[in-house]
Amino acid sequence: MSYEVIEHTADLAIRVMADDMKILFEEGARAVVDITGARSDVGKETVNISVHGIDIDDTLVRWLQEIIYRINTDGFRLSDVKVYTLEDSRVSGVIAGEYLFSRLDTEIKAATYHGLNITKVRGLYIATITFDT
Amino acid sequence: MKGLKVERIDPYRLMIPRQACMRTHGMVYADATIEKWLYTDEALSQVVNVACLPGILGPSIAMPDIHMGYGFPIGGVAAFSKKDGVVSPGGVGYDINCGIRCVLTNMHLDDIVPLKEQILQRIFTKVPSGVGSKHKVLKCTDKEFKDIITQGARWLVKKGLCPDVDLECHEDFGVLPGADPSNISERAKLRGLPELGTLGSGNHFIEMDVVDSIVDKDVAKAFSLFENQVLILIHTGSRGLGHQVCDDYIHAMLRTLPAYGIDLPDRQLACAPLAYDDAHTYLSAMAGAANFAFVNRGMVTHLVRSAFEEVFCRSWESMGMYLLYDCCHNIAKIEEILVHGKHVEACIHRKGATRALPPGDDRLPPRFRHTGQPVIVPGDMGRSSYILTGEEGSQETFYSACHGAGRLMSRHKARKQAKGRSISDELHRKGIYAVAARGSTLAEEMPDAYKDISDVVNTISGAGIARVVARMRPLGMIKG
Repeated sequence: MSYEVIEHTADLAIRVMADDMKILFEEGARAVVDITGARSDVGKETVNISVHGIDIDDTLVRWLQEIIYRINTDGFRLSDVKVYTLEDSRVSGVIAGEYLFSRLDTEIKAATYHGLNITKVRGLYIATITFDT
Repeated sequence: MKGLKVERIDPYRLMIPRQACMRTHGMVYADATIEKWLYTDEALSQVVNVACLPGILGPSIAMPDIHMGYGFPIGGVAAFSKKDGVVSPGGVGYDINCGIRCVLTNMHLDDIVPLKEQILQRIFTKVPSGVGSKHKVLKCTDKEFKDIITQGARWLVKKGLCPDVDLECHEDFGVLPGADPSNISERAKLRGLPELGTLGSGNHFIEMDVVDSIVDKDVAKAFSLFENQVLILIHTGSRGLGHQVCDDYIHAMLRTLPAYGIDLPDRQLACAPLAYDDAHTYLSAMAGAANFAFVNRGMVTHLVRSAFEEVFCRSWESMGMYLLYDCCHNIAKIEEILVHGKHVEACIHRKGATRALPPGDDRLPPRFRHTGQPVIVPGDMGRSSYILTGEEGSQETFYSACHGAGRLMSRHKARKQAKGRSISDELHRKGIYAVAARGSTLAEEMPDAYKDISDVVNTISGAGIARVVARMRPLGMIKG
């Protein structure tokens, strides 16, 4: 997993790293799956996800919110995630898995905008994301 | 926050003078003990950020249980002018009307002790608890959903799930006005409805307590409290419905910020001016989510009562299981407050804070008008909880008080520190029976992860905001 947990008194903050922006979005989604435990070994269903933000930070939050919604409300459990296109604050991708409603380890209510920033350091994209848990 | 100026005013108050983008000063209620913890996270910088919002009236306030949140600090209170102020969904949070209620019983400690574990297990079986808990049997029609959103606790009375006399024991009588279901998205409805009548996870709980000290005999009598009395605390909120309402409106408001010319230090503070419809559409949706939360706590209460009935083979009425009070922790409401000695209507945001009306306030029902509003302040799993009552001094906090102990440690850190320990056994040795929907919850919620509630209560009573009526100790709890 390309993320690390950052201390946050009430909630949960993580730092995600990737050498490509599309991979950063995928790794963010994988972090959500890892934290919640919304995993599946079976990729028999796919759901297309397409969101549009006001800028790249907002797009990342919208993308993660969409995945959190699918996990919490539809009971979707993920085996894979792929970003196809990411341009002009618009992301399109697909999640694979199954509708399982299995028990989760942690509930993420939302990905927040607090302290969110995506930076590029020595060729590596880094995003800090705070979740309400 | 590096370089932040903080000045002590008296033993219970710290002031953050205007600096950076602040439009007003900050006021943090903290004695010397609480102050030591203030600089361990970014909570104070969040007090500063709130003070930067347009139309803020009076100070940006933080209660002694303050800790770092997102946008607003947890324990944050702020008032905004109806004319040039704003409402911020992030200032309410995702768990809209997360709140607490105290259910009375007429039972003594001795009546309960032999059956304590049986009762808690029965409640645990009945109330869906834990991450993503959903109700397997509850079906709700579209009409019923709309009634829940608009009628709040009154819907429960109509359905026979709550006695009429309990209504006045809710903040705002259990229904926030102005809720319009059409302002709540289909997504919010889909996310929330299966979770109605469930506890949820994290810091949500059902706790059995015993009154171990009566401090104010007269008020305790008026609140129907007595020594060795068994009480039930229920802490939960609007579940997925509130989460989605908050998300929908932060998303919408972020897009309209430039049109209103609002520049923010933190996007999570996205807001809309109260002079425009955008703000009132959110307030209407938020009121609906708050009403949903009143119904959720009411349904959980109904299940708790039925668990007692099954164990004791008596009616819940014969066990005196009426409501002492139900109050909101995460809310924004138009309320009358005093600013520079003048009564004004403003939009009060409480994010992890409780309303605390003083004696004589005509917003209280007759039964509490001479005592002040009951303020329920739960501690951690191993230490005391308190019942307070609002005092005259709460004018300066826009009639608000603390809502709990306040976290000291992140969940991640708590899990690490609990490694190799059995929190359940540690509590058991103190006579506390804890049941949790998942193993790690007890570690995340262990007593060491919280401030000592007594320090928080000492500050709030020392500052004259609310005073102690009774202290309880926990007998057992269900954690989500």
